[in-house]
This record gives sequence, C-alpha cells and structure tokens, in this order.
Amino acid sequence: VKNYLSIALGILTAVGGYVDVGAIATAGEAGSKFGFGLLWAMVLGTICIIFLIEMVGRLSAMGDKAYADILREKFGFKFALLPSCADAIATFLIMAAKIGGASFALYLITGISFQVWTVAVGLALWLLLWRGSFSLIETGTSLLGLVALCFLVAAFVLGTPWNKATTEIVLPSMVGRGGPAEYFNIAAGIFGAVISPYLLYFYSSGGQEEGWTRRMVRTNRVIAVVGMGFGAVAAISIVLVCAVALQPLGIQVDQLQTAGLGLVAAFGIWGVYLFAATLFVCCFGAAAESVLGFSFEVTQIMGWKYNVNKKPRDSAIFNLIFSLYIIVGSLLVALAGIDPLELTIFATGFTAFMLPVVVGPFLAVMNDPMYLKDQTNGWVSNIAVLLIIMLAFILSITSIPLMIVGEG
Amino acid sequence: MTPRMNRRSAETLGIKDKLWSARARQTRRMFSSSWTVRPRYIHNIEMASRRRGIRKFLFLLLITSLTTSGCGGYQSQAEKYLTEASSQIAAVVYVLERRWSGAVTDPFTRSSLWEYATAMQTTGESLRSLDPPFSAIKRRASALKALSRAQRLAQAVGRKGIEPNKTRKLARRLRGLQKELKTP
Repeated sequence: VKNYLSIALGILTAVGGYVDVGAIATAGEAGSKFGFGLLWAMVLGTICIIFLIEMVGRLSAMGDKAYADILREKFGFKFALLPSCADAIATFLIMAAKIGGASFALYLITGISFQVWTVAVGLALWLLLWRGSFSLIETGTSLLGLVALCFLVAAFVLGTPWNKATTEIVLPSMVGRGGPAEYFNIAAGIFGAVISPYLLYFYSSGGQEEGWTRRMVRTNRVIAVVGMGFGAVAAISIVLVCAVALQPLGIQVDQLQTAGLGLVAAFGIWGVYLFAATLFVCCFGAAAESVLGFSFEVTQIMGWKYNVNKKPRDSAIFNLIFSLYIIVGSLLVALAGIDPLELTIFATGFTAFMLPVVVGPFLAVMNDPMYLKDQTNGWVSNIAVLLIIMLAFILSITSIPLMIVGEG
Repeated sequence: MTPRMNRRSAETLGIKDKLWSARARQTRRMFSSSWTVRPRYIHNIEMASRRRGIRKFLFLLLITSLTTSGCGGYQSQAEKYLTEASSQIAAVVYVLERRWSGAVTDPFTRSSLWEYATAMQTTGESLRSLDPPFSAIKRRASALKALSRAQRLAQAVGRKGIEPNKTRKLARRLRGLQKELKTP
C-alpha cells in the first residue's frame, strides 16, 4: 500500500503536462475551434507519455541514477550538455509562464493586476522549495490538483454527447473554425505540452528522491498509467467542456479566462472559483515541478549533489539554481508584463523542436543491461520508443513552420 | 541521322543503366549478410539520394503548409482576424449576460473584459496591418470601426466595473457591433 501512495508523484508529473497554463489554453482552443476533432491528439500523446514515464521510472527503480545522470555517464558530458542547454531555455520559459498563470488566477479572483501577484507567487514557490520536503511538494500538489477534475464533472453536467466524442477519437474530423495549418498547429501544441522533456527528468529524479528499488518496477507501471491517465482525463474534459459550451456560441479560447466560461456555464458563480482554483493549483504545482526538474537535470549532468530533502547548505548549488531560476522568471513576467499564454505557446513550440534530442537516446539507454539488468525493454516497448522518436522528428521539423503559419 | 543517333545513344544508355543496376544488385547481394561492410560508392550514392529525398520532403512540407493556410491571401487573413474579433465580442457578451444573472463576480467581469479589450486592440492592429484590395477597403474600415467601438466599451467596463442592471443593455449594443463586424 505504501508503494502505491507514490501515485502522488505520477499525478504531480501529469499536472505539469496536462493542466498547466499552456495545456488548459491549448485544450480549450482545440475544443472551441474543432469540437471533438482533436481528441485523438490527446489520446496519442497520453499513450506516448505513459510509455516514456514508465521507462524512466523503471530506469530509476533498477539503479541508483536518474536519467540525466545516465545520459552523461553513457554518452559523455558534451552529448548530455546539448539537450540540457535546449531544455534550460524551454524550462525557463515554461516556468515563467506557469508563475504567470498562477498569478493570472489570482488576478481573475481579485481584479488586482497579475504582475503584482507574480512577486507573491514567486516568493511562495521559493519558500515551498526551500523549506518543504519532496513528499510535501508532491502530496500537497497532487491532492490539491484533483480540483482539475471539476472539468470532468462539468462535462457530465453540460450533457456531452459521449458517443460522438468516442467516435471522433477513432475517426477524427477537421471540421471547425480554422484551416488545416491551425488544426495541425494545435495538435503539435498538444504533443509539445504533453511530452515535455522536463517531465521525464522530474519523474526520474522523483523516483530517486523517494528511494525506489527493484520492488517498484510493477508499481511504477500503475503509477505511470494512473498518473498520466488522471492528466489525460482532466485535459480531455477541458476539450469536451469547451466544445459543448463555447463552440456553439462562436467563442474561441484565445484568452486564458475564456476556458473558464465553460465552467461558468456548468456551475454558475462556483465555476469562476473552481476555474481560478484549478488554474492556480495546477500552475503553481507545475512551476514547482519544472523548476525542480531543471535543477535536477543540471546538477546530475554536472555531477553535483542534489536533494530536495537535504538542508540547503548540504546541496547548495541545487538550491542556488532553483532560487535564481525563480527570481529571474518572476521578474521577467512582473517587469516585462509578458502574457503567460504567449510565453507558453512559444515554449511549447520550442519543446517540440528539441524533442528528438531528449527522446532519441532512450532506445540505447533502455536496452542497456548495465543499467536495467533483466528489465531491459521488450519488443513492444522498443517499437513504442521508435514510433515516439519518429513522431518527435516529425514534430521537430513541422513545429516551427506550423507555429508561424498557424498563428498567422 | 539525328533521331537514329539519339535512339542509339538512348539504347546504349539503357544498356549501361541495366548493367549498372545489375552490378549494383550483385554487389548488394554479395554484402547482404553484413550491412557494415559495403563498398563506399554504394554508400555514397545512397546517402546522396537520401539527402535529396529529405530536402524534397522539407520543401514539399513548407509549400503544403503555406498553401493550405492561404498565407498570402488577404481574404483568408482578414477572415481569420474577423472571426477572432467576433469571438472576442461574443465572449464579452457572454460574461456581461452572466454578470446580469449573478453567475460571475465583479472582479472576474472587470479583469476578463480588460483582457478582452487588450486582445481586441491586438486583433484590430493585425487587421489594420493587412493590405486590402480596392474592393475590400470599405468593409475593412467598417469592421475596424465596429471593433474599435466594442474595444472601448469593454475597456471602460474593465476599468470602472458595471452595475448588473446595466449589463443587458451593453450586451445588446455589443451584439449589434458583432453583427456589423460580419456584414459586408
């Protein structure tokens, strides 16, 4: 039972990929512009991330090293530095956008400018990471993150045509407000948000922080499926709610608060509070996850000490990295007043662009008995990795042109 | 003379091609058991053709994406921005109507409308930056006028807030502007 409580790690990881500022906006945009026509992208992205998360979890359980650590050891420092540098930029933008997203939630409730809230959110985030333990961060965020399921309840309240939605997953249509370029741009955005590299670094390091052993191999499978399943259910519900409540009114989700109008349609005034709570909790949790994921990655690649549970003086560089990241990220949003949504769209495009560099080495690592002993990949997992690498390459090539063309 | 010569050279070329492909097939068969030990010239030819293939694929992808989006056409771009503007006004109307029925709070109404006003301004600027053909100048001007009025109304509510009993009147006015946006 204790092992299965690690499900919190899976849920926290999923929160970052599925229900943060970018994912809410992308899912809302997909639903409000193309109805159920893009549900397939959510389902496909979920299958891919379940495979990847299961693999990095297995890697953590079978050895005493996290994924970034192994990348450096197996391929050398220079090779590991390339994805790390690319990820540093992407994660920084994503984290800044998430701090902005959490602040935006407070702005919707209070009416006070989100730039003012950015400072408070940045400070609260830093305090949580500085003082809190890893279990507090993961359990707290994952429990509070369950509020995102209000979108699922709303989908039932609004009377979603489930048969039509299920059919469109298998036989998707491109009918809606927007051309094919916009359709594929949103699909690429969904993949970019769901298969974020920092999720892999975070989950893998989270397993190390929790001291996973060989016994966790089977439990890890359940965690990957349930955790990512939770994220997928929440994100698919956002698509459904926006498709049912907003598409018939001709409202497109181009603004963050527009996604909340679906909840208002379902719950009235409670919809406002539920939306703000979902946005705040998920963005705050995702910001903590992204900043920790990046700090883990840098310290592992450089061979420095890392541990959230240790006192700051015992892993000084680790604490310094996340502190600097939070300060600079908060200042970027507070002083420049950059729209968190635009920042996320850019970050997601960039993530999709660099995806092959992160996913590529998986095939070699997951078949190495030195790290996985008797738990190396079977043929199903290897085919899945190959398909994911192919998808990553297609996304990488098309993400930037689609972003330019799709955004107009 | 010339056609015969051409035919002959074509025949010679055909024989050469056949010989070449036969030789290549033979060499491939010889080394089929081990992919690592292959003559360099075959490897080079394959690499070059692969590179050419990738270049062709990228070029086609670019052309397809540009064509499908109708990147160059004023009509499609303007249509896109007008749909965007119409959606923003529809969202403002929705929030105002919900404010009247007490389904949204005052801070939510103010912050949302302020954000929609900012978005409308950006959409208006994008629409203004397009270069319309002569036939579309009048339509664009009237659309811009309607959008600008809607933007000012949303901004005013975003700044000062609104009494719930005044929201319906404003929503009706905005719906009128939304219609103006669509009519040519």
